[in-house]
Amino acid sequence: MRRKNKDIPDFRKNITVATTEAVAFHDKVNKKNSFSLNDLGSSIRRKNVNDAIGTAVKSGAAVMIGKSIPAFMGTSLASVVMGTGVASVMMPAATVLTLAAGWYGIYKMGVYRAAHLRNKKDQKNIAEKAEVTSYMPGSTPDRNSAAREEYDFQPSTSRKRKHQQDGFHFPMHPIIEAESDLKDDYNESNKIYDRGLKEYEDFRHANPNAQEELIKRYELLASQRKALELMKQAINGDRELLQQFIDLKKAKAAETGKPEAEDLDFEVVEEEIAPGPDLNNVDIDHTRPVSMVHAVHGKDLKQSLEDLAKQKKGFVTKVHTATKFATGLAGFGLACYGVPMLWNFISGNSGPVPGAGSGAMQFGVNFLSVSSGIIGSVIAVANAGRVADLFAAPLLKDDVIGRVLENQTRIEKGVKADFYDNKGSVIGATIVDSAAWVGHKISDAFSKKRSTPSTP
Amino acid sequence: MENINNLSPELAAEVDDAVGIVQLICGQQNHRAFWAYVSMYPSKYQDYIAKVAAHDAVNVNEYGIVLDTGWGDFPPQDVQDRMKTEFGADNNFEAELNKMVQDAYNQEIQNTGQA
Repeated sequence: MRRKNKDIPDFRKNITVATTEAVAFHDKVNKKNSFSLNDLGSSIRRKNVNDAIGTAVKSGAAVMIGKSIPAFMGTSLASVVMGTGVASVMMPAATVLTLAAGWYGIYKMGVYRAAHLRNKKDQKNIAEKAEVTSYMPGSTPDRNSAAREEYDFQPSTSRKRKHQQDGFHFPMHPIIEAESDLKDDYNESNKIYDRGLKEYEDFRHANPNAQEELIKRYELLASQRKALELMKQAINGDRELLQQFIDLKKAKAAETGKPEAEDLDFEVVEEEIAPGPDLNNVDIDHTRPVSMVHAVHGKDLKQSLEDLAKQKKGFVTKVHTATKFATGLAGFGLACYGVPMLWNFISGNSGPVPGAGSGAMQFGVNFLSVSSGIIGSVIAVANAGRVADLFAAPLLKDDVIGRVLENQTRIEKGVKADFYDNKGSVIGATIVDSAAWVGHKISDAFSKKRSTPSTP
Repeated sequence: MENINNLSPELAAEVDDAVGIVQLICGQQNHRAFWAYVSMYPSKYQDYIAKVAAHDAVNVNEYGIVLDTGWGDFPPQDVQDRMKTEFGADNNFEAELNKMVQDAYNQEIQNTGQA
């Protein structure tokens, strides 16, 4: 169907059609090109005018505040740092910029409001004069599944097939389609299971002493039950499991060379999709180390060593503190006094900020100068640690690796590491030593003789 | 050379708490192929290797923490990628480890020579 009415925009809406109107809706889509969705009990979300204005004011105010304050702060700080000679130019500029930002915010309020009103008008047009060119049947809204939360609707396979027979063809999201197909499989399998269960009960009553056959049938039923539970789990939102079913269907389709796999049967599900191995009493063909990790945090060991060294190693902490303090001090001095003094030196003026005029103006500018100096020093101290890290990290890395190697060689020589005897030693040292020990053991296990069935 | 049995239980526990040797294991359970990434306790590592070497059946859960496992001959690529991201798993780790130890030997020889 082609859309004829050009007065209304293209739209895509999730609507709820009253159950009693479903047939009428279908007919109207087929026979008519324009009708009111409101007549069919549709529910289209609307915004009222108050909402629109409220949103516009909030959005515009955010723009105004977000732009005017940085403009004012930026020009003020620049004028303070560069001296009041510049300030006499920058202050008016700051005022102009602040006002401009304010007006821009008010302008945005208007833009947002217009957009909301236009949207409201569109909504009304859609509701009253919608031309439905296509629709996808959904599901009842009370269905609770992961697919519904993510995609808002879940057409069932049977519903999809019905509509395809009616001449509609709608692409479905693969996950929804898989979930839907699996549900059909589940329903079919459940019927088979129920039949099997009834046959088992009948057989048991008729042949109470046929233990071997009963056990065989019971195990089969248990296996079927397990497969059904897995299917149900996937249908009820276990995406990982659902993906396994999808992969399995794809694999089966590839095996048979058909575009779509046949319905999954119990044996396939039980064989291919089941909880993973429990690893009790296993035969190991190949085993090999792939990494060492900090067991507590699951981090890469080397990173953990560096982290621990940062936290625990005294000398490194001292280096950190000293560097941080020195950098902070330098930042403070630079921010408070350095720039004005440098300016004084160049210009030969006196006072914290030269050329500040007199009276209130001078007080204000000097106040701003000192306060910005304090802020600057706080920022400098806060960031000094990061600067220090940049310089300290390579030293740390070398130190840690050096200790690992050192301890390895000590153990190779049969020297008992001092760390073990010293309970007061830092955890980092123990881990460094442990890593060395573990490294040696692994190496020893693999290099002494390749008797282990390692490394395929 | 230091023997694992010489370590005190406290130290062994401390080592186990602190470090895990991530091991990629491939084998059979009930005649069905499986794979597993396991963070092994260092204190039990030698016992584990000895059992594998003797072709004994192994209860892997006793030797470490199972990070991930599944059926099949080898872990799928997405699992390998995840293990690499989360635990730094590297199939060439063994070679790197040997190189690291070799470097340590070399350094020791060098130090001894200088002394």
